[in-house]
Amino acid sequence: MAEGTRVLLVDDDPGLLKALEAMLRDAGYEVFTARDGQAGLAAALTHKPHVAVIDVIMRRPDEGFVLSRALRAEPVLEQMKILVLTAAPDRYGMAFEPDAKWLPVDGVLEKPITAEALVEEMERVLQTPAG
Amino acid sequence: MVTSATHAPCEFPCPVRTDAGRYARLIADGLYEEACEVIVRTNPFPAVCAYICQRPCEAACRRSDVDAPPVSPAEGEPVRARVAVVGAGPAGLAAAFELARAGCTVKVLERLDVPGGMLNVIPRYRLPLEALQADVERILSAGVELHCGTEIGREVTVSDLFQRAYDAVIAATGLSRSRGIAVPGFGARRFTAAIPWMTDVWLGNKVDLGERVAVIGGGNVAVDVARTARRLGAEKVCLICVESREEMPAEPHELELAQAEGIEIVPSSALKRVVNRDGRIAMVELMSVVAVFDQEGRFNPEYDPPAFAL
Repeated sequence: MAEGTRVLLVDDDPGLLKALEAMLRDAGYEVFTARDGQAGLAAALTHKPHVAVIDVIMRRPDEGFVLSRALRAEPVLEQMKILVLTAAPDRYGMAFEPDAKWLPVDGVLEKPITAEALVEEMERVLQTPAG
Repeated sequence: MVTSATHAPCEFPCPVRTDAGRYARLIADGLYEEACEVIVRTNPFPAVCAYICQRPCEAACRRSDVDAPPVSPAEGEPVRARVAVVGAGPAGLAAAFELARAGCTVKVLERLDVPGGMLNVIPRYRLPLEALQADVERILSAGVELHCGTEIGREVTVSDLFQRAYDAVIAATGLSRSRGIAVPGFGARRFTAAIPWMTDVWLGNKVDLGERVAVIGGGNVAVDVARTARRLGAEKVCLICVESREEMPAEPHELELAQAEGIEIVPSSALKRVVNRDGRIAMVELMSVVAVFDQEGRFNPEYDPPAFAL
């Protein structure tokens, strides 16, 4: 499934971004990266990835939430799956779930995460028909 | 299997299937100890429930219509096993109590220094500490061994437990997180969640409150937070919920007490955004809710902009 699948990673942690990028490339994915929400939206519109994996707490504490709504509002990205990968639940003591209005994503993943778990969840959402 | 056909109408809605008819009859006959035994048969927290149970049995009572004899729950076969229970909250302690009475050797491992879990974050004005301690002591006296200050994954792992000849491990780690809402403005200073905040209050940690507090939610936890905020000195406390006043899931009595304490209830309203100024909350913007549930009865609020502010 990885061959030909474009993945966009948005995270302000360069170390994590580099590690995930290398791991996903080794697994056969075509990977694009961005370091903030604005660059993430631009990259999504340019590369039209099959799946975006986005952080939440970046320059602003809700940057990933804002980005998820901006991505979902773009008609050209209608087929793109979105996964949130965040440490916000641990930091704020809150559990987040996809929500049509405020968090229109296909899944919420929690840091830290293993490469296997991330790939498994990406493949799961990629096989789910667009809602 | 538990169905409305297998249990009396008063037992069926009870989460622990208390034989309400039987204990009520025993009380009427002046047999108080026997009544207590009936309650403890299925409920390890009788004193706690005396304060916080929402009494679903009362609504289902048919005493006035039918005077039928009560149903006795069947006793299970005794088992012998070594069981480790992870978490000394209500679920973990209830499991430990039942297992100990069934003949198992039970050890409960608790991360914090005291047992009780989320029962500890129920405000003391609503649940006296003595009631909780009495129930915990009764559970421990059934032969349950309690180890506080032991965190799974840190001091000991599940594999360690199995290697130490435990036959089973029960994970009862509870729900120490609140449901988050990803509204615009999330993450501002003093934007916090109910359970971590109430946990800080319980543990005596410093809580950063401010003068005006907006509590989002219409259930008993939201009311607990609002009433606690008032007690900690907040001048204005609003309880904002998507439900109408009549639909609010909190107990009516709790809501009446909250209003009597000066807490303002803002029903049929949802959070639209939190307006931050210099990283602090300057205003919360709300929107009207015209319907909470969809035609299939699912929680699916329908909003009616424009927004209004508090």
